Amino acid sequence: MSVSRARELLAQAGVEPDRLQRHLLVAAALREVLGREPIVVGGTAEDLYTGDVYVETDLDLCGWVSPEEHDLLRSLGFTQEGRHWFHARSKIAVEFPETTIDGDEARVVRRAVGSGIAAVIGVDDLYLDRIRQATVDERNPDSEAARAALAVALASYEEIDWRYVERLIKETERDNPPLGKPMRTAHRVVRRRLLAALKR
Amino acid sequence: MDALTLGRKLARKRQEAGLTQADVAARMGTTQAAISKIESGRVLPSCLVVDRFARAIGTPMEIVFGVDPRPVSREERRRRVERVLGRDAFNPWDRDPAPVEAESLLADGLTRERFESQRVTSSSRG
Repeated sequence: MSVSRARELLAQAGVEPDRLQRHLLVAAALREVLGREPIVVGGTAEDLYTGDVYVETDLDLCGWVSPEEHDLLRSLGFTQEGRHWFHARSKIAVEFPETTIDGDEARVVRRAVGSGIAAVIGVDDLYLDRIRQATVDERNPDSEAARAALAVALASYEEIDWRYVERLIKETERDNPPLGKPMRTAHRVVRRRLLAALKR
Repeated sequence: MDALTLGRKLARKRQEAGLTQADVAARMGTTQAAISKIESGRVLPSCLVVDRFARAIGTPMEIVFGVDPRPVSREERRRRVERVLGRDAFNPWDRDPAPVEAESLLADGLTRERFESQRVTSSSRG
């Protein structure tokens, strides 16, 4: 972990034409300097697992920037803009929506990017996250969250640990029925569409 | 090998044999629902059940364990999604981006007009 490696990765991000790769380079740079390893979640993870169809607007990272690290980020070229840390050279807006991922840290994937490494939420937990979001309107297969869950399932069905998904939904149904029941419904709706697509 | 991949393989073999799930279920002495669960990956069948399945469809079956699945390319992932959801299925401008997010999108040429025109094209096609 070093500031010079972070600068190197941000310099690579500044000239990288591929948007997804640029997001991952910024994540890798922040991993070099932050005390808590930042984990890519949300739209960037969705893009990674779906072949870039989601088009995220920012880089969501689970992690924490301590007040002492604020000056360090500024020295690396980030400016604080509302809820985001914006890196003007790479045009990437970074947000830290949560400190820890809602899922299994052992399933986090570490990917080589440029001369660094980006930590990304596991595909199973990303799918569950999208299903959780789809509970706002769980019977609607066309809500953005339901389509996002379906996109992950279609693009990565061989890699998703479906037994883990089933177990987590079952546990949520038992421990938190107001969330678990609509999760079950949303998962059923998405899975039905996945299986129909795979039959074609 | 995961349950869904195995289930798909069994379903493909059954279809190649020209049999329905109900046909195979009858030959195996089980229910169509049980076959459906196996083929959709909701149940991981034991080796004995897979053996009975192969006998029921009348075709020997080879299943290789311990081999990593073929890595799926970015293009293949995109193709799979676009086949079902269409192109530009997600419009980032619908998420009401903050000013810096908008700046980020515009820097990559991801303008609002681009997604809106795609939407118009899709709806006029539909």
